[in-house]
Amino acid sequence: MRTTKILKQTPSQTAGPYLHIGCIPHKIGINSSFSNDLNNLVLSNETKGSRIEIYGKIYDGNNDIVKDALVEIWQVDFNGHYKSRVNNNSKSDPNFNNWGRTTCDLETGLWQFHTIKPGIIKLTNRKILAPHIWLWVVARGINIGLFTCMYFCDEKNLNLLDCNLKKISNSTNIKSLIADKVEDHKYEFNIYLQGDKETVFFDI
Amino acid sequence: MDKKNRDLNYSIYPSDKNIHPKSFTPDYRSSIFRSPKKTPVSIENIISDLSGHIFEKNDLGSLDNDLTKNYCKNSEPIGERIIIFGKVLDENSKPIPNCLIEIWQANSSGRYRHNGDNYNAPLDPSFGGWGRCLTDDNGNYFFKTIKPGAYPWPNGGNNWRPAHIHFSVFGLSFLQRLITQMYFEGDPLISICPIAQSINNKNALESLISKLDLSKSVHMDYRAYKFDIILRGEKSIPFENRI
Repeated sequence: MRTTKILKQTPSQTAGPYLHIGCIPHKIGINSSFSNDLNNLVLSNETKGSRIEIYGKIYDGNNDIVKDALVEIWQVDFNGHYKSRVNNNSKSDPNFNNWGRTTCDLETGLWQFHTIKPGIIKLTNRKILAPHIWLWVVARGINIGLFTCMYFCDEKNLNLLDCNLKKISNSTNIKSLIADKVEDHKYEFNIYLQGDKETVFFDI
Repeated sequence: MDKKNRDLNYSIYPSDKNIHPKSFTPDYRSSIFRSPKKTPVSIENIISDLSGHIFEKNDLGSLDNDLTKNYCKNSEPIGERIIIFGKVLDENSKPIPNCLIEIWQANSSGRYRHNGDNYNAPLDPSFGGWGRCLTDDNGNYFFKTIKPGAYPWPNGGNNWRPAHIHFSVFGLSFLQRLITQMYFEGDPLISICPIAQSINNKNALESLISKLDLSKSVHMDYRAYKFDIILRGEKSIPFENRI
């Protein structure tokens, strides 16, 4: 099958300051007519894997906390699999949804997720991707959604083998992609939009 | 190579740099300190399989796509009654079914139902300003709503946002995720809006401007505007590097 690009992508625009009412109204206490927020990173008792909490804040170029952002995450299950929309034989955990989203707290700027520690993704030629969680950030002032990727500080050996991290030159701020372990099962991942600590963002 | 997983190894065309706005667009003041200075790092899109989150019809309520009724069931909001409709397609012109679209907007006087909005214009007790729907098997969607008003905003000058509706679109893959804004044809504020003008490509901006389509209007009730949404396309050749 061969396809050709015949249409042009629709351009991105900032989500603006009021994204909550469209994306996640209940989270900020808006009396929405929607029966539910669609933020489906639901862990049931049956979900396999080690429960973790990840959280952080987002800082702008003035070192001010960005309090109006929406954060979405995308990750594999405990065993390294994404759920498949096209493949019923997928080995993924049926009780895990891969995707979740939240907003920063409007007063503190804190975002957080309760999820499971993602597994290793095994590629061919013995290549691997270390446990990681993709994040996508939009907010007022962000013209196009920002992708970054959170790795775990307690997976040093796997991080050294990770084929995405290997591609990042030494000059870039690889440190910005490694979450700190605050206590068991609790990781902090702050995002810096600008400055010396500017987080590595990806074009994927 | 596990044949069963072959479907998962399609990749997605890159985000088109000629179309999307740059991060740093200083005429839009909020972008000045919120734009990364470094070029994003390009990597192979391992996560670009077709495994985006799947939404289901019963995740949504029956009035979720009717903003004229979904906030207040007893009275109708004030303003010009419109239908927004179109298709979600990828760059290969392939329709994207079961795609979640979320919208939010100001009411007819330009006021959002959000604590952060303190514009003088009044709230409308019959209007929330949010909606969502899933595309059908052919990628079609529609919303019934009220045409939003223009409003002033703090950007260091006499700035007015053109009438617009925010769109959040999911696609099939996490990499197709898009948030954008839809405008209305004939609006003189578009050409002087720093947010609209953050798109430095005339055709790209034009693609965000919905067009009046009377053929889809509802007689003596709603007039219709057409807005198609194009997401990053699937490359058809699988890269077989996943076990």
